Amino acid sequence: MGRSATDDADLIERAKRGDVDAYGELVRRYQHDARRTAAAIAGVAIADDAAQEAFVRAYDFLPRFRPGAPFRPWLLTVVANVARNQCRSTGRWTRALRQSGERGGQPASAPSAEDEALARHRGRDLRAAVDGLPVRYREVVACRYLLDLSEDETARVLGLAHGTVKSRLSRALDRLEHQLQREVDHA
Amino acid sequence: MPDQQGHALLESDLRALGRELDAELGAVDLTASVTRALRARSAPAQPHRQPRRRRLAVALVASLVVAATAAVPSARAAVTSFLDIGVVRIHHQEPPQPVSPTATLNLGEPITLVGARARMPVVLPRRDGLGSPDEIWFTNAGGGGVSLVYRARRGLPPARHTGVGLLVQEFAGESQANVNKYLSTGARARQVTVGSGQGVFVSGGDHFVFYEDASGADVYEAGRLAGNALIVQRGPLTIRLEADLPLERMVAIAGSLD
Repeated sequence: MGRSATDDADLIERAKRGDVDAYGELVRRYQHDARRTAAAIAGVAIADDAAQEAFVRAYDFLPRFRPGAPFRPWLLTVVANVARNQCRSTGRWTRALRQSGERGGQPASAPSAEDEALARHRGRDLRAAVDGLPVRYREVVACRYLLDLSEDETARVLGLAHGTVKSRLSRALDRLEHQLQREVDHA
Repeated sequence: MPDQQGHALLESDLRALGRELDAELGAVDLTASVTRALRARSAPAQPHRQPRRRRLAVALVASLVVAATAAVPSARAAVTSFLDIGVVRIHHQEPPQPVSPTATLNLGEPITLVGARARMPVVLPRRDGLGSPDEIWFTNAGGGGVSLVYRARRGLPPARHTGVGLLVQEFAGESQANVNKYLSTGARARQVTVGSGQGVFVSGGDHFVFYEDASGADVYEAGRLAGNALIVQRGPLTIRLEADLPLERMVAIAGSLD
């Protein structure tokens, strides 16, 4: 990518002065992360709308952006907030993930039919288990694993203490393991 | 029993689930739509907030505006300024997003007094038999804040919107944190004296409280209706008291904080 904090800082400063094209370059750089964040929190169906609104809001918030701070986690915090607001009902998120499970996940290679069926089954169970998590756990799981953010980034994006992220992740994983084990036992 | 290996597999599966998001999202470029939206507004980014040092001066000026216009609805409707006290900003307008009338208190996580004081300075009311609160909560919203909950009791009637007798919220937020209050029709904000300092008393109607996160975005999930509230600044803390109590008692309680 060749992207650096210095490059971002220059674009941010120009955008603060009203240079929309400079801000457009920031959008181009970070839209992938923004759309993924919105999708993980609000669902694929409204991810693009949420990401677009978040970029517009972030532009308005630029004067508050602390010079020298990393742009990505700050932006993703705005995206997460917009996505949360657009996802008031957890059902929307649940539905989005289920749809994702029904349509996505096509493997690149060709495993055996049995392996494929097992993987699909486990994937479906995992989605159902994630769906069933309380919001406070689901959000940290979404950020840490679905978005593959670091624990620090997850803490910043969700506005939580680092220790809170660690403990919630640990509890969430325990719950997921427990739930998946129950599914196996009942199979 | 979950173990490290089990978690490693699970983490791998969760990351795979995340990669499926990419397949679902496809390749879409938002650049044009975002820049078009920004140009359509034809408004360059404006500083949203004055530096902290200036905000207290703004508070004094703005409070005069509020006092002068509060009794004149038409003039008041035209006023677009706000009133800052500490990290709390009071807007004379309806909230930007509707608030559920049944939204509950969202105070963060329960914490001990010792734990809270390890994170920020905390003061307690020292009159009317108050002191140790029934519950203590900590949140990162508003730049970090502690909430002291005193259940309803004799002399502390349950507040209409919270059901608790007294809620004391203390924020140690810096310039990038804020608590936004939106005054609905009928709510009034007036400047009051608390000890040697100044405060703002909001009464006469419902108002709405939103916390703002470090990015400057309102956290609407935490938005809720609130009743009478007194906001004071004390040293590094901005303190918000909420209770169905008259101004005099609120001021007395605020004055006893230690």
